[in-house]
Amino acid sequence: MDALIQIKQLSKIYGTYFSRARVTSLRNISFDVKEGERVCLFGPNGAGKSTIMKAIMGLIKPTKGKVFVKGYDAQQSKLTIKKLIGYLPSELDFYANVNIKESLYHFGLLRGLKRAKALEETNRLLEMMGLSKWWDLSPQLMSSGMKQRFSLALALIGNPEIILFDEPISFIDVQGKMKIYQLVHDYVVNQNKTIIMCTHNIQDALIMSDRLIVIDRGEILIDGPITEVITERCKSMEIILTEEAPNPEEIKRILGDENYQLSGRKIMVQTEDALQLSTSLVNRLQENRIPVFSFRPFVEQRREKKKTNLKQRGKANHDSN
Amino acid sequence: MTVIEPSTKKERNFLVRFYYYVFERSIVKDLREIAILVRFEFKRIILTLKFFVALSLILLPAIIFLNAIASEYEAFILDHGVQVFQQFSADGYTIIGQFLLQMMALMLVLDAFGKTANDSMKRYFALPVRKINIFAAHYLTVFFGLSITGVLAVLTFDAILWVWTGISLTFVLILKAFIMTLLGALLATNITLFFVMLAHSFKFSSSIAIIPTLFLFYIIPFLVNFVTAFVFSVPEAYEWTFMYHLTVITKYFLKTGEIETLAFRNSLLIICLITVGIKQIAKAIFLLKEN
Repeated sequence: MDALIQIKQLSKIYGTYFSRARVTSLRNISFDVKEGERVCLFGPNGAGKSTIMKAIMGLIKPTKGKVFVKGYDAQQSKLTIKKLIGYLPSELDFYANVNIKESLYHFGLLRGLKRAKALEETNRLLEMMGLSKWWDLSPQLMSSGMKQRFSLALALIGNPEIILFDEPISFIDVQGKMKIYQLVHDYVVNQNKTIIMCTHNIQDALIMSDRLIVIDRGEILIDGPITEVITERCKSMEIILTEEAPNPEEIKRILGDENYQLSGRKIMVQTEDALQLSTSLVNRLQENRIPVFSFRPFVEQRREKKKTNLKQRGKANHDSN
Repeated sequence: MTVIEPSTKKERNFLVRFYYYVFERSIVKDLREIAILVRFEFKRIILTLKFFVALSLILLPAIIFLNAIASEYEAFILDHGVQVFQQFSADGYTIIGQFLLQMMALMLVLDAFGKTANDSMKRYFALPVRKINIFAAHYLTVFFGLSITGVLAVLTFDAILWVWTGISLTFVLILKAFIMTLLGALLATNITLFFVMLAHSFKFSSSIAIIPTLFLFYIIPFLVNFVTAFVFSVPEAYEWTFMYHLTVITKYFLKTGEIETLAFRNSLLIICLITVGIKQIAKAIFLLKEN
């Protein structure tokens, strides 16, 4: 089967040649996504996940490399590509004072639907998201869960073939998340849609996707079926806390005598069921209001790569001296 | 029918592009997109700014009233019917109208292109809508907002004048007053738009754009006037301000004969060139910016 999305040697550097602060967001990233696949781009904040999404939609110009969606070059056929894609951004920003039905209908029209069809789709999506009772509410009066469902409806109107979720459920409670998971799952399974989502939460990735691409600092570390990645390649998980120096006694009191090592801000979990255990630890930390900065598989490859890079740099410096 | 865009560089020759824009991506589609956006944005902005619009409509006649009552000169004019009114004060009132509509323009631009719309634009950019259409639609929204407020304000003022004194402005005078008010507002719109785009480019909040516009339109002319009147006697300095040129054009239009044609042409050229030029720069920044 041909790939629906092809990303070839994609690199992106933000900032101009003359800028003092030039940030390399992506470094030679290549991967394909097949039709009907559910892919999760997993990595910490600043890994380059959103940049990949933007490159797929043609919203940013890559410094190097190409993106093809259904054979169309993302830089040259932006409108055609945007017709194929529904996008759910991480920010829940809406139009104040305009009711949700009006906003959804407006998006339907802009996606090229005729008036009658747009109205029909609007009603169908409001019904599907459980928002039909509140059609005349403006988003500012809605709860976060309702906003999230409305945001999903905005992404799905016009029946796009590919759906991009940019950290879609990062700010809502477990119940709200389960509702969104269920809605997305029903929609995707029924209509064989392709999903690319990015998140830094492994639980979201596990439920929503069947392939995991782990990204860090603009590079792909691991790419494979999610179960394989987690059971065979993620036997170590690391939890990084936001506080600079958490009190180790306090952390130990909260986490109990589980199988983990605590050093500074990092908690390492290295067991056969590392994912399960670390998920439970994260939940316990959050219940006790200790904010978690990152929760990700610990990849030896990354450490080896760093070492190799440092060695190479050292060698180069030595040679030049 | 699916629209096939020229997808590779090789295909993007003149004939393919011509075919694409004429037959596939027709101007009708662009107009439809703009119309959909204007309809929605207009509704949204009017709902957001409804209090401000209402306030402007009340404020404009109220200020004119206060002006008229406060000064013997103005009261004298209102007592002596339309002829004296046309001769002495229509331009003065129009300049006050310009000031108010400029403030309205500032608010509209900040809302349409500023923070609120910038957030919503993230979603627009992900839709299959041409970027130039997004710009055009938002600009048209501001233009329509200003036109409607301008017309309503001039008519409200005329109605109050008629009820109070029994005199009414002629249609031509109303039209001239409206055009002049709108010209001033468009200049403020484009300058604010330019600063909003500049602020976005440097990752600043768009509300910062209000500062240079206020300086250019009100603070600098005031300071120049103040300095000229009380410290140094340099009357030419005031001629370097937008307000001076707008006043010249307005006076020429409404009190023909008092201003020299050459001065009027100079001012008209300056105001029109800046209005058009700065809008083009703002548009270019908007279109070239990555999202």
